Amino acid sequence: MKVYFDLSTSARWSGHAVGIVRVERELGRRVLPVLGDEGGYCLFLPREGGLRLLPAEAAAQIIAGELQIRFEDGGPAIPGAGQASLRRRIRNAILRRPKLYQAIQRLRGLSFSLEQIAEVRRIEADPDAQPAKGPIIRTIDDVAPERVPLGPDTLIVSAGLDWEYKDIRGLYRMKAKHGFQYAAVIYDLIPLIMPHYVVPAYVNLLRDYFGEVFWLADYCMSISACTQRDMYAHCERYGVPAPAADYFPLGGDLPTTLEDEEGELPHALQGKRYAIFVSTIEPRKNHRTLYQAWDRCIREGRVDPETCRLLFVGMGGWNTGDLRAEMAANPATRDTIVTMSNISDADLRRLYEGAEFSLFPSFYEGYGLPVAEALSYGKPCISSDAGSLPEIGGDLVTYVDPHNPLAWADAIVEAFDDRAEMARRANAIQAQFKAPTWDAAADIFFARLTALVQKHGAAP
Amino acid sequence: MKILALSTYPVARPRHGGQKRVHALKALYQRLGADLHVAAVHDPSYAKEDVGPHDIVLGHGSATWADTPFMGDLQSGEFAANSPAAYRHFESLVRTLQPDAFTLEQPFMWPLIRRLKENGVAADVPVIYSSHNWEAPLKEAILIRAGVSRPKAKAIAAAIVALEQDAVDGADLVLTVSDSDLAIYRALAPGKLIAVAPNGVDLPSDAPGRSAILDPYEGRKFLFYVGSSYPPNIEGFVKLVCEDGFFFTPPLKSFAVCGGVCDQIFQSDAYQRFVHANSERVQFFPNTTDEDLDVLKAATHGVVLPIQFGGGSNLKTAEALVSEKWVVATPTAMRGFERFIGAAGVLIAETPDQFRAAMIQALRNPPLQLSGQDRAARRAVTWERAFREGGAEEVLRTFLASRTAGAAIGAL
Repeated sequence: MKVYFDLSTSARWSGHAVGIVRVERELGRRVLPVLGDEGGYCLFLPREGGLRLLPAEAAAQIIAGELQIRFEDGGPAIPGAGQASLRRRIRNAILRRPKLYQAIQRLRGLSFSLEQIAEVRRIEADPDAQPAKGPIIRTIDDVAPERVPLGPDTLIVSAGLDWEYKDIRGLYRMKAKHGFQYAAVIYDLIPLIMPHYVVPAYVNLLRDYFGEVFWLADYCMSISACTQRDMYAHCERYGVPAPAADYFPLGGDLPTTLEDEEGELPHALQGKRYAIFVSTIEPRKNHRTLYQAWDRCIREGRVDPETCRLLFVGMGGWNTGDLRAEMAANPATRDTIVTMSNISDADLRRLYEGAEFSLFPSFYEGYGLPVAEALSYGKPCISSDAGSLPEIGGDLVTYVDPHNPLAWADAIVEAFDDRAEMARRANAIQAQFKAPTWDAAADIFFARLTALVQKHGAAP
Repeated sequence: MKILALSTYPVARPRHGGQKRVHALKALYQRLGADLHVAAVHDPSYAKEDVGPHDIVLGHGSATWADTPFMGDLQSGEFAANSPAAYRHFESLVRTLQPDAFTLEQPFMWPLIRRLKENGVAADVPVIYSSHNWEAPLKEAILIRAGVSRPKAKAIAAAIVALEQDAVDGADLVLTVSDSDLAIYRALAPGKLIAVAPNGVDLPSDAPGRSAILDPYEGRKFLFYVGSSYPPNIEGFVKLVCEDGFFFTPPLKSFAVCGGVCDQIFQSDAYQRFVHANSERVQFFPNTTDEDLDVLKAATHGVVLPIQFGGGSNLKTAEALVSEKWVVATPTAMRGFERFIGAAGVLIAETPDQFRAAMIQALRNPPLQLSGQDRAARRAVTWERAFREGGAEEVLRTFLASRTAGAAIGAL
């Protein structure tokens, strides 16, 4: 069996590898070490509805963020790729070193506090910003001129944004013609089971994708047992013969090199005790429940507004404008709930390390990376019990019903008040929680996928 | 014996349910020794070959409901009675034909009969009111769904109730399509002679030849739906079948949608939402020939009847049953055929989820094999047996015989 790992998403990406791009790259970089000669890479080319053979060297460049592929002839420039001016790149580099920036500005006769500099960074930060050295852009015909030789002994593995970059129906027809096999990574089925928590413009795109992918895929690798259960339920509901399936953990490696060691906590958190909630602000993540719980805690005097803070780290997402306006206008919360976004890995690490505990009240998750992150930092975690979340930390996490703000209020008060209990929890986490590394996660992924292929992999 | 049928559509080439019922009644009258002549006021959409010698096109005679959709039937009756040219046409026809009875197909042409009687043109000609369903609630529902204000829809429905009351009062015999309609008309006119003439179907032709029309299916199972461009036919399919897309089948042709419903189903928001996915699975046949339609019916794995509202009983249900295929139907679609709920090969579903589950179940099943008893039960829905076993044939025979005898006595 020859396994071709599809890098169609990473090949388009500019900027830091996050979310699905991160998964695709982390699995992709381990294809050859794990599979050896049986492994390879491919790209899906929409204009011909076919799969192109991607040489290993180019795949490595894509995974490293050094190469970006132009899939169509002509057309507009790829957004963000290599666009930042030299001046902007120098400015960004200096801004990442606040004390250097402060010194340079002093030479110009200007005075900035570190907090003001952090604010400038937040305002100027571009989520799509390129690394200082932008990727090279090459056309697909230049990089991957040959088609993948497809046949019954070919397995295409896809972990990317297939609803954006693939023609699943075209692949279904191609599969019927050539008889290859297809494996898809399934992240979650939230657009199907909780469409009200998905940006409306994406709901139908994703329903269309899920409507087709289980007809196409021979194998599905979910990122949690919960997602796998959801997949089986969906297949049963739609009469789709369920693909052979297993699941694997996501890697939780913490950043090993930090650009900004000299940074400090933002002024609003200095000298404070705080709880951290890392997530995009959007309805599914359920910031409202925490807001209501926190409001109650402050108003009832159960949490000290002078010393305690609730920290939301994440971009403002869709359909939360009212909530954010409420938080800003509410005298009980406007100074005690701190929001931050566009922060670096180093800042995030600093924020986690400074927190007393973490919170995660999400209504549903296919995995729940922030819970794993918080546990990796050794922080006690109070989490919703919805979806896949209990799979991550098991008994090491305190679970609260995401629909019950009063219960969250009680849990927050207890966490601030009972330092001995929180210390006990932190110790237990440090002793028992072992976040899988990406090496381990990839080993599990390929081992389980291989087992599925061996068990079910008769020629389709 | 000559009978003049008055309707709001021609029946020379029966395609939709109402036309087929009139066509079947014509055969029944023939068996009973009477010739049925049809005269219709119809909308201009019919082709030349659809129209009979006594039919006329609805003109601009009635402006009463000019701003309201789906009012052609009421307008036709008003037009026939009140447009001088139209009335002259029918008056002349009656004087020439000298019918022994009128049969009023649906109530809408009643104003014409009333005027013919009032003017002495047909004062003593008996009237058979041939109901196709209890019209007012259906019309009200259609109008409201079409965006007509509720007060206006209710007012129109009330006018139809009054019209039906007049027609029933003026009729000598009432034919209904179901027991439930029978109860309604009994309440309207206690003591009136009323018989049930259930809807039925012609037996499918034996083993129609294979046709290129089946090519998209490449020998796979597919489900079949046919309907005219009539709101209940469109809305039920859109709501119960299209709403979540056709993802319950692989992206290969697995649905045949036929007839006047095609355009509006294709254009519906629900279909367009996943148009690319749906188009992989659905083949539309908006203008297929009767022969090809027979080929599709014979080759299909199952027939869907996603009807959520409407009156009377559903001819498509009878056709589905007699096809001896799997049937996926709403309880509404089974009106008049309630005895088949729970019968072999009949899957009943009411909500979109239930309907999808039933279609999946049907597609998973092997081709339907009916026992001899079940097959015989399904074949009992032919027009001939429906009229005979429903009792209408005997009632009509007696009625016509009494009229013949009466006429003979009168002639003495």
